[in-house]
Order: sequence, then structure tokens, then C-alpha cells
Amino acid sequence: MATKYVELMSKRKEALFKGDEKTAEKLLVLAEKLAEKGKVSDDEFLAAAYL
Amino acid sequence: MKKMSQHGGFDPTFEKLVREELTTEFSEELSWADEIGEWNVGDFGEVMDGFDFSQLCQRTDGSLYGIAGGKQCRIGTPTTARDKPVRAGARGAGADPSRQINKRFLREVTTQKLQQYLNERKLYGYQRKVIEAELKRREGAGNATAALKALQARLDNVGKKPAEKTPYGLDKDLGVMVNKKLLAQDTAILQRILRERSLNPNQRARVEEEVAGRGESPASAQAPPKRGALKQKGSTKIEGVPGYDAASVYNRPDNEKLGEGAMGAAYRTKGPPPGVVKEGAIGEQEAAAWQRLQGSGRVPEFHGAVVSTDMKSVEGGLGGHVREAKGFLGMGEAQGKPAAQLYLDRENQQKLVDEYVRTRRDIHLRGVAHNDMHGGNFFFDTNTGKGQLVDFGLAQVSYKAALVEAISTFEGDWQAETFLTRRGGVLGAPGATTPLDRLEKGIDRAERILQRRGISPEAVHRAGIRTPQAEIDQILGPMTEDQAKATIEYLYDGV
Repeated sequence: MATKYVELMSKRKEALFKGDEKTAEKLLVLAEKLAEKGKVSDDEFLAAAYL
Repeated sequence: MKKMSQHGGFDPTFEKLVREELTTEFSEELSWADEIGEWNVGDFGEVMDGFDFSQLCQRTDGSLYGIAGGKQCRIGTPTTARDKPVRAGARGAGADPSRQINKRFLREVTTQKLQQYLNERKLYGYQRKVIEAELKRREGAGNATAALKALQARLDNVGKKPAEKTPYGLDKDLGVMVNKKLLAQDTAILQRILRERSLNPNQRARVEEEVAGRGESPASAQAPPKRGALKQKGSTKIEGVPGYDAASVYNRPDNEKLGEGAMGAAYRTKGPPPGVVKEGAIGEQEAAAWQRLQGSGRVPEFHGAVVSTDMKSVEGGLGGHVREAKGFLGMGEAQGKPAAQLYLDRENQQKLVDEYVRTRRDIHLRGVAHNDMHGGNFFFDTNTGKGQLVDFGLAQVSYKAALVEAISTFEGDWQAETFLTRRGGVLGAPGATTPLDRLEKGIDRAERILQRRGISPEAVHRAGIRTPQAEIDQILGPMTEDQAKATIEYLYDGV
């Protein structure tokens, strides 16, 4: 199941593959805010890092 | 400028359109934003932080501005006066009074005309999106009509043609009826039903119970679907651990799913060897980067990869610096936790920053530019004080690219800048001799070398990380890979 954090980070990477730095930066900010609020599990961090 | 608050006289249709657009076009982002307690969504090419509709303003030329994140941002121009004169060279709705995009307009204009508007007119982002949404809605309506006709045709044929039978002896159109008759089928057929048919949880539980009762394991039915399985003919196998087949490991039934996104899915696998296996987009030089960094201590063990030879750029955008292909890649789990997950005391924070810098040093010295070193990809083990990197999807295997990344640490790599700033990496403290301080001096040294060779350090900073190799070659001019390697060694001397 796709989680918000993994989805955001995955979309971010897709944006970087497309050369869309601006979108990637926005998505990273959103993802980091989720992480700061403690809403991301260990597995989600791991999945996002490896994808 | 006149203020167009809710007490002012601004066109409520426009606000409605903006609101509708935000809630439909950005509904997903808004739900995320709601969850984290604030708005931060892309809107018409602008970033809107905590957009406040009561702060809508209209300039005398008709442009609408909003206050977002303390800054003014232009969000469009409502057309209210049909007799407004058309200004020479003006763009958007104000330039053409016939382009007042509202419900009445959408109701009255034909699909063909709308398409013409999209193709031929200059429109603001919100206008374009409203028209595109309308066209999509009409297309959907067309599909509904076609579906209705197809249904009518099927009803007309009732009694004329026997229903097609599935291999399980069931009417295809009725779906799977899990009853005594079905449960009496052979075990292999039941396993196939579990694998291939859409069942609700109750149906699945009944079939699984029946299979388990016969002493068979329904496990084979739970194996992850072989999504995107590659034909051996069109793929390349990159060796890591001898005999490791990433595609087979990915499809093991006992794998534990970690997560899935636009770029693929990742599973934790028991192996052997245990680790993580992913399927999806594999970067052009991802496996090569993993291979080159084996033994550096800065990456987990590389198990192996199978990558399609059909390497291509991801569609859309301006085009990235590397291409990608579908494939499977297996690797060990990194030690520690991602830095993004760690909240440390001052002492450990300093250790983390030092390790981050040393990790960059070690990968650059091996001729790899990671190109994506944010806190989620850098793992830090607080017990051993050691840092490791993962995710080489955007990596480039080249000393020249590594040199560009190294020089861009403080300018040209916003992820590294952000990471070091947030983690308290402070430069210039009296008597400071941290790796970060030594790196700063090293970058100065490297820039002087570039200048002596007639290469502009400013051009390198401007290019920054994730620059295509061809452009790097152009910026660094006649510099060879060996010279770039020597410059990196000089840059990191003492770090």
C-alpha cells in the first residue's frame, strides 16, 4: 500500500528524473514536514530511501 | 491597488473558480497539507503558503494578487467588463473580453470551440484548467453513452449466444461465486482462483481455509504478482552476490512489503542474502554506482540487479540528467536510521555532520556523484558513529560529475546546503577544524586549480549537481577524468 511519505518521495524522485527541480523541492518539503510530525514509520523511511 | 476582500466588490465567480480548482486539481496535495496542518500547494506555477482569500487584491489592470507566505503572488485576471479595451501585447483574459471562463461560458460553448480555445488562445493557468476539466467531463459523458450502447447491445443478445465459460466452470460475467460447488474443485484450481481472481476478504478466507484444510499451502497464491517481469532477452544482469537473481528474489512469497510509489515498490526479503529488493525505475548508472562503491564501507552490500536494456528518459518536464529503465535491484539494509528520522544531541549532531562530509568524500574519491544526498538517503548509526548512503537512482559514475558535486556542497546542491544548515554545520567558528571547515578550505583550493586551468568556478556552481554529463564535459573543458580525480583528492586532503 502506498503511504503518503513514500508516495511523496517517489513522486519527488520522478520529478528529478524529469529535471523538474522546483516540484522536487516542494515535495521534499512536504515529506519532511510529515517526518517532523512523527507520521512516518521506520518501514516507510526505508522504502522511500530505497525506491 | 484596490483591495478585493469579501466586503469589496470582487467577482465571486472568480473566487469560486479558484476554490474549485484548488480542491479538484490539488485535492491530493491539500489532503496531505491538511494533515500536516498547513497549505503548501503548487498553484498556477506559484507556491501558496497559507493562502488567504480575504487578502485578494486587484490591481488597476485587472490582475488578481493574493498574499501567500507574506509575499504577493499573482493568481490571475478575472474579466468582468466585456467592453474593456484590448491592450496591445496584453496576455490572458484581460486581453480578450470574450474569454470570461465561467459556468455560463462552459455551458454555451461547444466542445470543438473549447478545444480551439485551448489550442489557439493565450489563457491563464486557471482558465486552461477549467476548460480542460470541462472537456474531460464531456469526454467522460461520451464514454458513458458508449457504455450504455454496449450494455444495450449485450441485452439485445441475451438468449442468442451462450455465455462464455471460465476454466473453473463458472459464468465469467457472474464473477467468482464461492459456494460448495466451487470449493469442491481441485486444489490447483482453487489456488489459481486465489491468484488470479478478484475476491472479497470473506471469499478469500473461505477458499484459503479450504486449501489449507487439504494440507496444501495457499502461499503460492499470495506471491506478489510478477509485475513488469523482464524478458531475459531484453535485460542486463549486473552481478553482485554470485548466483543472486533480483527478479526471483522480488517474487518470493515471504517477502514483506515496505512501500510503493510512483517509481516502484520495495520489499524486505529474508534472502539469502537478507536485505531489500526493489522493482521499478532503475537509474541509468545506479547499479554501476553500487558496484563501484562496494568495499568503501559507505554503502550496504550490493546483491545484484536485472535491468531492461530499454533505457529512456522519463517523459515530461525538461528532461533529467540521467535516463531510467525498468528492473529489479537487491541490496543489504543500511546500518542505523535515516538522518531525517534522527533527533540528536549536539555532540551526536556534530558526529552526524562529520560523517555526512566524510561519506561525500569517500564516494567522490571513488568517482561517484550521488546527486540526491538529502537526510532520507543518508543513514547514521548512533552506536558506531558511522554513516552510509543508499538510493543511487540519480547517480553519475564519473570523476568529473563527482568533482562538480564536491565543489557544489555549499552552492549548487540545495539538498546538501539544507542538510548542513539544519544539522548545525557551522563554518568559521574560531579555531574550528571540523571536516566541514576543512572541506570549505579544500573547495577554495580546488576552485583555484580550476581557475588556473581556465575553468570558471562560477559556471560549476551555476550548473550544480544533476547536470547532464555532456554539459559537465563542456564546463570542465579539456579536463580529463584523471585530472578530475586528482583535483578531488586535493579538495578532500585532510577532510
